[in-house]
Amino acid sequence: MHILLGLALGAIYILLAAGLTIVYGLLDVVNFAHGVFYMLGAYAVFLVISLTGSFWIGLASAAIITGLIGALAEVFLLRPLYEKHQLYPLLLTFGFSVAVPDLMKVIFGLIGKTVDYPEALSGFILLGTIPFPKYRLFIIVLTAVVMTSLWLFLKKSDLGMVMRAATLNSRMVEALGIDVARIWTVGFSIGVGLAALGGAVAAPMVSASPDMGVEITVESFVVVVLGGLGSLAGAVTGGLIIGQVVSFVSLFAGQYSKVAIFIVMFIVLLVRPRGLFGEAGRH
Amino acid sequence: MEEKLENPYSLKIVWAILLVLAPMPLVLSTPLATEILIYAIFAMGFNLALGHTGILSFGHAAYFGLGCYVTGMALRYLELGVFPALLLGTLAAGLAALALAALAVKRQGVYFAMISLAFSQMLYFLALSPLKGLTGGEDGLKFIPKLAIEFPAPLDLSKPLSAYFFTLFFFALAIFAMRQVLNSPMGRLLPAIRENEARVKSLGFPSHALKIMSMAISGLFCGLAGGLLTVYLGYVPLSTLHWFTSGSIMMMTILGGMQSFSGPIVGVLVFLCLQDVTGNFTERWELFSGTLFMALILLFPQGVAGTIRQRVRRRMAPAIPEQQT
Amino acid sequence: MIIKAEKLTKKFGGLVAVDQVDFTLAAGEFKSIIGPNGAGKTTLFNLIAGAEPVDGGRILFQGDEITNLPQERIARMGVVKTCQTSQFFPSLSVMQNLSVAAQPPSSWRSLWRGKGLAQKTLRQAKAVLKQVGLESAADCPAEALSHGERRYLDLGLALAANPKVLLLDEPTAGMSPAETRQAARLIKHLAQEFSLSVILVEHDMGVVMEVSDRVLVMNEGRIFAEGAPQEIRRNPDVQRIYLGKGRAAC
Repeated sequence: MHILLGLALGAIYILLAAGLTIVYGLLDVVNFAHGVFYMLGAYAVFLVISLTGSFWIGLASAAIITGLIGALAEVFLLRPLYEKHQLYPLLLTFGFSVAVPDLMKVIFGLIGKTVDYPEALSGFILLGTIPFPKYRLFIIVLTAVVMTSLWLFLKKSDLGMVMRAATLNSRMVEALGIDVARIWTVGFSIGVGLAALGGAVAAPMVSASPDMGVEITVESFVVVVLGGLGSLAGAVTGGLIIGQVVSFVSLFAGQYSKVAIFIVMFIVLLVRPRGLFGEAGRH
Repeated sequence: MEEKLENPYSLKIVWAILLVLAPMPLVLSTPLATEILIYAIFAMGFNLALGHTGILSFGHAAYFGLGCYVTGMALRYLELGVFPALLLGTLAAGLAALALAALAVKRQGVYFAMISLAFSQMLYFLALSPLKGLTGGEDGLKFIPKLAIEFPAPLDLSKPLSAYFFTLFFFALAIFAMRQVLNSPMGRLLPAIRENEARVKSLGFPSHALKIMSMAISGLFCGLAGGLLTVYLGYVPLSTLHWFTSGSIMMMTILGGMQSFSGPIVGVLVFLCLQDVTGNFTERWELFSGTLFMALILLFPQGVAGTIRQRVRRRMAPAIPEQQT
Repeated sequence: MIIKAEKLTKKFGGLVAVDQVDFTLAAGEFKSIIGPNGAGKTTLFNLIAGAEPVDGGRILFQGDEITNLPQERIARMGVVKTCQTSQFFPSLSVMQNLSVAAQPPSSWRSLWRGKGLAQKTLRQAKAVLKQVGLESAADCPAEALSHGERRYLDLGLALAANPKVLLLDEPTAGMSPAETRQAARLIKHLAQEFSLSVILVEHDMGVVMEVSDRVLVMNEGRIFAEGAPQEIRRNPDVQRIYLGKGRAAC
């Protein structure tokens, strides 16, 4: 039971971490605004549901709308800074993560917006003899589907292959006559789109609030670092581990569940400096 | 050969900064002036690691917050005097920074940033709930007894102006100490580490030990700043440990200009004054400051102080002697 | 023997970069290492200077074992290495660069600048500045130097660290033949003046023959031949593997 609950929690971490990994791998940007896009995803799903009434349209459009916002942010805010020190994009995303939640407070007010569970997914399903919330099961399945298609996209499609090549050596790709700047924009919007999907999926459980992304940014960093920066498999493993850790620690010592995340990360990094799946050549 | 080895940072700069900042209460409100001094110490300490040694830490809130809490707890639970409590807070932060640096010194760049971030978040969540009984959790550490000192002169620190002068004394101490550190043989090696760590090693200096020392000293300054904040506020807000504090001090430092002595102080001054001004007409300070951050980064890639200095230098000395290739 | 290496071995995965190399350097000796690219010269340097861990064998410095000591310890004992690419502190001035290197190694612990220490450091830095001929550029940021000047600054940094043994990995890389000759002569001159032992990796055979006491030829991780410059020049095998590959001869 708790393994499954941890799995559902881990699934959201996986979505976030996968997005972060793509952004870091491709653009070398440590995206401190990742949680902001998670939050934006939750608000997007709230808005679209209140307009169309359909959870499913909401889910899909949350990722797309936020992805587009991400593309705009990349083009207008991050792009001018790539030539400079690695710190500047990082600081810019920090500024973004200070400003945008406040903007959301201006627009939507301080109180969180609740999102209803879709009818088909509310209630419980019997797994053997144990009743398990349907929605959590849905999250696990959805994440598995999304991650598989992401993997297929990166492995099989032309664009995916260019993206992987650009992750390894962007100059080389540029020399081949491919517009790397466009690839970066696409990569960034896919990355934050995944974060937004995570937020959209989480929205019914936690309700959309302006500050919901603040802590999860750092937690998704932990997941990514745990798995090894720049590795998708690492992001998945890290997400699974952190999901289980939080689920089990909150069962036995609820107060320590957040602390435990960081302790696990400490231990892993001291034993394996580059994380579980980190590539030796990068830093 | 009677010349002296040139000091990178002259006494003149230190005195100039002190002379400019000391009369702040005449222009600004006294609490704002006090806060500027406190955050200036914090930024100086942070910049020893980031600007001078090139260590990317995203967890300096840990040392600042630790200084706050340890000082506060020493005052409240141990009922120590103000000076011993400050000393305790400073040392605790220095030790924490030393320990973290010793554990993580081999991790470069982003990895170090992440480990330090994780460390500070761990402290944050510890203070938030498991240690609620001691730290006051979300409400922060309150009920610190009214503070006063007897020595060297009797001073009631709950009065704004006396708190200001109390802080100013430590600020002066800190700024002289920082100059001493940067001009010392150890301090001169730190920029070399920033520029080329491998070369420092190959010349026979233990770069890891130097980085650890730099972090520890940096932690001391941050702890002192934290302790002073406790004394000035009379309580400890939980937000001192939050990663937004790390981010903000990084912002202020970089906006001021990280490779200079006065840069971080200028950054703090500009930032806190702007915060104060905007606070008068809008409640949405974060929206404003976040946008300001982004605008400044896009406009002043060298930092405010750095960009101004560059402009001036360009005007004063248009030609750097051209090198033949 | 100031440096003595026995059966030194280094592997990178399946590739044996340095294979059971025995190597000696006498005090005051000027020895050059030549050999085709990939012969293991740079790796050998890195092993001796402690920049990379040794997989097998041992290294003695003045009779003391230094195998796998940390690089900074070895450098403090007096074995200082330069790299093929200039390594310096770009935004510091030339003088600041040299003063960092000229600081006594133990001074890193010191938070107090003693007057004597500062004087000594300054004197040393100024002396080196003159020796490498960068006086006119003393206050320039190092990154503003030309390629050739950077090579001299790199050499100066090594000299300022008070070495007993200098390991110079292609100090003249990227220089014209005339500049190379000039630089090699300066190195030779400085080595004699301070009675340094030098190991030099250099491609210009003419220069190697001119300045070296002994020449060592490496190929595929092993020592192929060793001897006085004339012997090496006459050795037909050396001509075959090294000169025969189309490299410009003397």
